[in-house]
Amino acid sequence: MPITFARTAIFIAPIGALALACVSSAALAAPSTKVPDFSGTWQVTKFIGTVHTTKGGLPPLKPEALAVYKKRVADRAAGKAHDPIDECLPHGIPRLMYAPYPMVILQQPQQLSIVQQANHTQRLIYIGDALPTDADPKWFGDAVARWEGQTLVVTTANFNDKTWLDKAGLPHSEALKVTEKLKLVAGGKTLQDTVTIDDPNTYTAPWSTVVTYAKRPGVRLVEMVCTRDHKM
Amino acid sequence: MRTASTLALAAAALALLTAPQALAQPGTDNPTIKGSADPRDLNGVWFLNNPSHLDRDRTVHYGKNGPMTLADSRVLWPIDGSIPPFTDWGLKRFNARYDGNIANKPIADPSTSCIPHGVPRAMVPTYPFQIVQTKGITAVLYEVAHDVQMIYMDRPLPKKPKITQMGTSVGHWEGDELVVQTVGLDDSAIIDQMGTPHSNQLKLTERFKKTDGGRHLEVTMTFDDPIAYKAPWTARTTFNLRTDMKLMEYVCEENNRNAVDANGVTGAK
Repeated sequence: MPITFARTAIFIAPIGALALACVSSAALAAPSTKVPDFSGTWQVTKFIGTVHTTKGGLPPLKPEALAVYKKRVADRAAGKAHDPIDECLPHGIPRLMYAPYPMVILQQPQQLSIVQQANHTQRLIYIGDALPTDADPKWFGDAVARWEGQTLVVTTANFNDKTWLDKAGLPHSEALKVTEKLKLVAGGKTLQDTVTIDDPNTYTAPWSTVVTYAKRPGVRLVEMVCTRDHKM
Repeated sequence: MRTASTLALAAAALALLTAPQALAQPGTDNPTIKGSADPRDLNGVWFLNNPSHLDRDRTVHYGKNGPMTLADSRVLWPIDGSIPPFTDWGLKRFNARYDGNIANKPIADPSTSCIPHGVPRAMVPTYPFQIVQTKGITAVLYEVAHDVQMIYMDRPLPKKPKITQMGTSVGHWEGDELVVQTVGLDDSAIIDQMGTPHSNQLKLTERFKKTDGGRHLEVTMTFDDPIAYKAPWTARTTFNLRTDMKLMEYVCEENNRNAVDANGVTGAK
């Protein structure tokens, strides 16, 4: 048996722990107020490849951003798109929220955990926390939320600028702030996410779009692994 | 005043002992991750305790980089310190990995290519995991490689499980122990950081139990795998409740430099 045993205990540094101290603000739980339960399996009712604003048009791209967008659209048409998710990179937010696969929402008083089937992705939203300041840029940013009546208002910031906001290729900068208003409609059979994009480096004004999800009871997530399924 | 101060100390100690089982909660006011005295409430962020059930560490040679010592908590071997009862199939797999390490040609495992680690392996790298308990589903969200294990609390094990990296898990309570059974685990995965193998016939039973008033989580794992082992065997490891941690973003897919060649050998150490 080619194994040796040593008594010397060498503690392998918990690398994750060193950078993990993340202090939350006071929780703003309001246990007396009944809030809706988003728990369950949901799936977008319609795949959104090219995001339009709620007014129906292209988002108000600044000239340089419009040039980037047009090039991405042209590259896609020419079969040479450099879509980050084609390289198994994260969808980012809000694009993860339009992924055309089921997602499971696990709701707890202080945390909404979303597990999206697309590349088995987890998104954690801390309810009642304040956004961390001076945080590193991330693919999914930092997400916090608060209840406004029956609506959960999710604010996500601290992004890197590497993701696309949609399949067509809407760009964004690290200044991106995403506000989502999640609420149940149609007697709880539909979940609606009104997404507002605020990124003054890329867009001339904040703009919004709406995503709806149908409840998919009994649907179980299938294991999707981008680097395996696409042999990367 | 020795007597009086001793009494005061004793009184203080008694007060601590008789206080409600409140846990130390530095760093967070978030009840979802601060833990609870309820033995059936496993919510929280958990991180490897070291050492675990064995009192020794194992040195594994990693070629030219010299030996690497793996803490016990990263090696899942039998509680009694014995060697797992390998079949010829199991021993061949174990030695191939071991010899690859000696020869500085480590054999890749799924995680090398950003493929989920599988269970129980996802627990033993030095990254935390969060248990999220909701009605019907207990989810284990692993920081490492954003692995996710869904434990369904409301249905039986499938008779013909699909083979996947994270398998299919179902759970039920026996007293204050959450008993989780997992089947359908892809045999490309390994059980622990040392390369202990399993086949896709593995039936894994994990018993989760909080100890020390909720400060620790003990996971006792029984490996029943007639292809890799002559008899079922049991390992155990322990995790600390970490109220000071939230899971961080872990994107293996970004700039992964652990290329795997046609022989399954990787440059990763």
